[in-house]
Amino acid sequence: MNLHAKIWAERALLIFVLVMIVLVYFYVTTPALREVIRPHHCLFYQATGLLCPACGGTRAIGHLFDGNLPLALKSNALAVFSLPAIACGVLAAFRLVFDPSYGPSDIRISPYWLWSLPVLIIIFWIVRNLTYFSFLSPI
Amino acid sequence: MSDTKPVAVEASNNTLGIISLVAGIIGVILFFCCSYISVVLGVVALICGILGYQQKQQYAMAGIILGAISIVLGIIFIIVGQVFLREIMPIIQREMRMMRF
Repeated sequence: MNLHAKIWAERALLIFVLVMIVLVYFYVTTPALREVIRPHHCLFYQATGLLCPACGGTRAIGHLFDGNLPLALKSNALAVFSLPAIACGVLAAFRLVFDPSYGPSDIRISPYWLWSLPVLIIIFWIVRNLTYFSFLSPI
Repeated sequence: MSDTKPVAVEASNNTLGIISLVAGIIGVILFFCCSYISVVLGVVALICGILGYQQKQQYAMAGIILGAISIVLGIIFIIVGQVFLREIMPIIQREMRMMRF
């Protein structure tokens, strides 16, 4: 039973990740789709006029697809730099499902790296709203 | 004379539990501005939490709970976000302008 649940969870993780990649690709590369399915404008930005850490994320991925790295970095540097980490996660999900000798207990990342992620997001959140670091702002 | 003694440290692996907890925390923090990302992070936290819980890893249950909260809050905000933006946000913006915030 436990083994079945483990296999189910691993497959669910992989399928979810693949579906998200396909959805993001189509969403970013199809302007017509972006007009139909339009996420509401950021409530945080509307209320305070400040940028949240994900602001400009879609634009950054779109500029990356166009091969425009400087504009992608200006739109959302955090989204661009987090792509290698996301790629590692996708590879780990693939390995969990397709490599029988690789189990969940084999995934090892230093806790310091993992805990630095929310800290990095909060620092990025603060810094991109400062006038001096306006180059991190997509607006 | 040195007081240091070799201590046998058990190398416990809590990676999945911590991934789950971190994803859950970020999802809960971001639910009001990036509801879609919040739902995605919630699902990742939930699945990693389930995998970690089966390995009896620390923080996995906290990650499962935060992931579930993140999904629920994200979906609620996706649904009510438009209404909130259209009906309530102009009132908040007007009040803030009056407060010179």
